[in-house]
Amino acid sequence: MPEPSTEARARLETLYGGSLPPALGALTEEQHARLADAVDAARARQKQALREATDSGLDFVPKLLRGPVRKVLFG
Amino acid sequence: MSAVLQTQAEVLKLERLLGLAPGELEFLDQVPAAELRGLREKATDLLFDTGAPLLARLGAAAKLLPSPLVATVAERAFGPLLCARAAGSVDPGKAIDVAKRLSPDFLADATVELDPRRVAAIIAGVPTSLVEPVARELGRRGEHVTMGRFLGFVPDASIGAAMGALSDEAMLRTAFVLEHKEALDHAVGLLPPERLPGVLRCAAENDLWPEALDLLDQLSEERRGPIADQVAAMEEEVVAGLVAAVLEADLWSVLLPVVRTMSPDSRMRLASMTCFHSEEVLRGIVTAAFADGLWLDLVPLLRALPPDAIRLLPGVLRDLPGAPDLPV
Repeated sequence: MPEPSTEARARLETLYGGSLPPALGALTEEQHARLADAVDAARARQKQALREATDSGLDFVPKLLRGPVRKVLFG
Repeated sequence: MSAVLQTQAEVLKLERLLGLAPGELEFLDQVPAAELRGLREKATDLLFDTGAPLLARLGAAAKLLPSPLVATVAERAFGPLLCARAAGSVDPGKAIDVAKRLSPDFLADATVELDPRRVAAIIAGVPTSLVEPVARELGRRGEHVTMGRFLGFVPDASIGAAMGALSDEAMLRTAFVLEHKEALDHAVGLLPPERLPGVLRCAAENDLWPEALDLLDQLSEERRGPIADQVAAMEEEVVAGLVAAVLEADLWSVLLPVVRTMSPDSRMRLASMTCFHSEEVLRGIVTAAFADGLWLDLVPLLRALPPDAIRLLPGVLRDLPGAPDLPV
């Protein structure tokens, strides 16, 4: 299991698309983790919201149109 | 804008994007703004690309349905986050037609989640009758970061409508976190002149001098001069508050160019105020001029100082190795 700090820094580098610039790179391990966790949490919240909204959205479409709309949405 | 203020504004924007409370990322206060902006743009792309295929299909589905129905589904089922993420995939004409049928409350919610870079064509076509209530609602909620992200993308008529709907405080706070500061000079030109004294008074009453100085810092000299004169015309007590704020946040390098653009009379009035006549204040001013190469901005202020204050200068300069002789 990688050290939490190293793993957090790696997550930030993935987000950044390469090495972190100097000042961001010089943050403490705990700060890297807080930043990476905040980005991941925001992404997870959004994924969840999109899933829930798509599921409930079709209920509002009139039955006649539901088929074509479902086809566009889900193929 | 000073580096400190730029970083503060960027930290606020990043906190907003990630759904954090102001202050949660305070530990980034030593990171240069350019690094934070790069990180924020990457995080924005990541969030907007999350679920991108589904969002594109939602945009396509919206084409099949009449606008009133899309508006109903948007408001009652999809919610503001999904609408904001999908908006970039919807035909701009259709999106505007749908937006006209949504409540200002809902539109404000969705605006918070939008990436203006991806919906520029929609923003440009939104009628001012819609901009005004949404701006008012965003201002009421204190969503200055959101509004600050949009200025570079909206036409003049919308800027005018939005500024008309905002309080002086909301306007100052929005200007501070503005994404495209280069648009600020033009936007201030759209303000009715009678609003400017109120904006300055608001800075004094709400401890917003750093925000006000940053605003002045962005303006062209032609536009800054008359406003700087209004600063000098304020009561000495108010100017003392400005000096205290500048001292605390070390913003002398922002204040000096403002003083230089004042009329000679205004500068004399300002320099005669006792709040400038302490070694601590003069040391801050001279040190900033020395550090940031602002000697040309410094000289007019020093020349306007009364003799009692000038007598303090040798002591101030003695502490500053390498300071040139000043023509005071």
